[in-house]
Amino acid sequence: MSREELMRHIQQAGFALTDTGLFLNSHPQNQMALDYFADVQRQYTQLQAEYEMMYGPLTAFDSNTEQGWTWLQSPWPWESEV
Amino acid sequence: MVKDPYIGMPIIIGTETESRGERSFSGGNANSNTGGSSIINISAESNDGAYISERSDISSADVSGYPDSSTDDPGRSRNRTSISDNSQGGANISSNSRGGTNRAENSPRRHDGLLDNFMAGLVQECDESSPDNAYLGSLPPAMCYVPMQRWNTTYPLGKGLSRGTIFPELDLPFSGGTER
Repeated sequence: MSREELMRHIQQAGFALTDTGLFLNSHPQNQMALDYFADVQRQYTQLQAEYEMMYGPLTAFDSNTEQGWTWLQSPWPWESEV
Repeated sequence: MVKDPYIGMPIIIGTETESRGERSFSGGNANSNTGGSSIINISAESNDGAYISERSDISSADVSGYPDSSTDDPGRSRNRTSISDNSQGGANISSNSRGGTNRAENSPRRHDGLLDNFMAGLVQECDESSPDNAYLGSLPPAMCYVPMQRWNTTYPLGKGLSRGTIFPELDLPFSGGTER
């Protein structure tokens, strides 16, 4: 999976988590929604770990300081490929 | 408890989105006026054609304004049209901003006839036997009742992002209000 494809999958899972979270705000006891959220959450975590292992942190919060300030090593938005 | 004609289940949420500022309705008095009443039906049609309406009897209508979308301040853009029933049996329809300022009261547009046409469209014959009045006639007007969403199927993750929702029942793109 290319970097762009991986990022796209992360964005898709992240959006599903956001939307499910909105549903759960008004249906906090809905077990089907909770199960769905947990399932997508696992996918998101797995995709995020895969991306960060290969391409660096997704956000500055995810930086691993054992290897220095790696946040600066990944491209800035204006440096990304077209 | 009111039956919702849309999903056939009791409506369990009734939300008044804004209650600050001028407001005078209390539940159950919408039909309390006597003599010279006009009937106002406020209605809406859901996407599958289900028809929802509310009714109020008022003896006179004093229109003091209507929502104005030309506000500069986003924080004040959440205008609400409220119908207030005063103790003399009259009724006002006024536009209240979030801060309680009734800017429409001095609006020059109040006499341009647009609102008269709007009001004429609202005044309809009363039909006590209609399902709308039977279900919703006792509810106060100018309040919104929305059925609770239920968990059904979801779009695949990719389609959810592209459609802007993971819920097919909420995938209702706005076409701009006109047929294109």
